[in-house]
Amino acid sequence: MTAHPSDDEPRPAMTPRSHPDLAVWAGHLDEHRRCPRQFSNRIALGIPSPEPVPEAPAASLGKLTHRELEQRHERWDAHDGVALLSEPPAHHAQAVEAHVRAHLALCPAEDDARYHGGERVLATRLHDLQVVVLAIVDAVWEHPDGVIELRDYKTGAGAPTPDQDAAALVHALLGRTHWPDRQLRVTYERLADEPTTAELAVTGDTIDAALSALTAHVAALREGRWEARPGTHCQWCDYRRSCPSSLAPGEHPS
Amino acid sequence: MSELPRITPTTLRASQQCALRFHRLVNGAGRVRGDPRRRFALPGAITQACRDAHQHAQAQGCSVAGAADHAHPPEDLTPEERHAFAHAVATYAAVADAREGTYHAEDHERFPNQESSTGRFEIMAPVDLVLRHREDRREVRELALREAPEPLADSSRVVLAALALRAPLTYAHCDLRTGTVVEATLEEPDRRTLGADLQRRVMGALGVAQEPSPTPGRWCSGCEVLRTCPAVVHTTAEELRAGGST
Repeated sequence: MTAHPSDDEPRPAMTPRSHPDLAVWAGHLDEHRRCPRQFSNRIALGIPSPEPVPEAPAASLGKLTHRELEQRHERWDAHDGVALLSEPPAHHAQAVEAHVRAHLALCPAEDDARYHGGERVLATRLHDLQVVVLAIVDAVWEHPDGVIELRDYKTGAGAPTPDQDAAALVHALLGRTHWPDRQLRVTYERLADEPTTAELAVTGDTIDAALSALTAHVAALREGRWEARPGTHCQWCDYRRSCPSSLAPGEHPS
Repeated sequence: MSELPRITPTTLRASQQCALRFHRLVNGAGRVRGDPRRRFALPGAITQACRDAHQHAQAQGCSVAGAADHAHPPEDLTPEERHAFAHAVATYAAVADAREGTYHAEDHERFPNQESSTGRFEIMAPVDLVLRHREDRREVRELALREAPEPLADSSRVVLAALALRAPLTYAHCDLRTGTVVEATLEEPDRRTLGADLQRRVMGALGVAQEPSPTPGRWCSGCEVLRTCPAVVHTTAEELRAGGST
C-alpha cells in the first residue's frame, strides 16, 4: 500500500444527512476543544478505531460506578445497602464500593428531594442555530424548595467543577428549556478522594455562556475546523498511530 | 424507486430502541434519496477493495492476500482513514484465505430490495460479500470494524439478509480490527419465524394513526425524526437570551 502524498489536505465540514440540524451532545464541546482532529475522526467521519483500544482504567471505573448508582436509584430498598447490586470486575469492585459510600453521604434523597429519573436524555432544538442539543443527565432531583437539580457523578480524581466545564453549561441550558419556570442548579457529585459536591446555580449569565460556547462549537463544525492539538491525551487516542501530529504513535500503555 | 415503506437495518434496530422512531420510519418519515454523508466513504472503500481482491484472486489463481496487496485507498480519504483501510483490507485477506467459499460477483444481485409477501413494504439487506459453499449454500460476510453483536443471529443485518436471500444461509461477522469471525446459521424454520416476526412488527405500525411515545437514548443523535420528536423542546437562542423558552 502506498502513502498518500497530501496528508494535510482540508477535511470536509460536518454534513448532516437528512436535514440541516446538527446533533450536539454536551460532551462534544470539550472533546472538540481538546483535539478537533480527534473529534473529526470519531464524530464527523465516524472512523472506527483500526484496532481495539484498551479503555482507560478511569473510564471503565466511571461506567461501572454509574451503572451501580443507577441500579440503586431504581431499587430504593437497596439504595443504602453495603453489597453491590452490579457485578463489577474484581479489580474495580473496591473502588466502586468506595464511590458508593461517598455517594450515600452526598445523595439528595437524604434531604427529602424527589428523584425524577437517572440516565435521562434531555434534548432541545434551537431553531436559529439549526442544532439539536442533547445530554444524558445522571440524575434529576427536585428539592423541597422547588429547585431542580441536574446531577452528574464524577469519579475521576481530577474531575472539573461545573464552572470549568462546557458540558455543565449545556446541562444548564437544557435544564432551562425543560423546566423554564424553576430555579435550577447543575451539581457535580465528586466521588473520588474527598467526596463533595460542586454546584453551579443557573442564571441568565450561565445561559449566555452556554449559548456562546454552543454557537462557537457549531460554527467550528460547519466551517470544518479540524486542526490537531497534540497532548497527553494522544496516548489514549484511537488514531495515535495514523494521525500525523500524534505524540504517542506507538503501543497503548497497558 | 419504489414508494413502499422500506425496512432497513436501521429501521429494524429502531424497533428495539424507540417505538416512535420505528413507527415514523415504517410510515415513510426520514426517507432520504441519496446519502451525502462523507462517513460512508471508508466502509464503502473497504468493501469494494475486498470484493476486488476476491475477484482478482480467482482470476489470477492467487491468494486473496496476494491480490489485496495491490489495493489502494481512494485518494480522498484522510491519513487516519487510509490507515484503517490498509489494516482492515489486510486483515480481511488473511481471514478470506483461511476460510472456504468461492466468490461470484453476481451473487450480490441476489440481494435486491425484496417486497414482503403482503406487498405492503419492502426489505433492504445491505450485503458486503457473498461466498458460495458446497451444495450451493450461501455465506454472507459482513466486513465490520467492531465486535459482533450478541447474539449475532438476532442482529438486524442478519435477519434482513436471511429474509432477502429467501434461502438458508450462513452469516459471518468479520471484525476487521482483529480478524475475529463470529458465525450464525439460519435454516428455513428460522427464516419463517423471523419473517413472521418482522411482518407482525411492521404491520403493527404501518398505517396506524396513533403514535407511540418516544424512548430517548444514545441513539437520538442519529435519529431521522429527531427534529419533530415530542421529547425535544423547541426554542431559539434569541429567546433564551431574552429569558424564556417555548
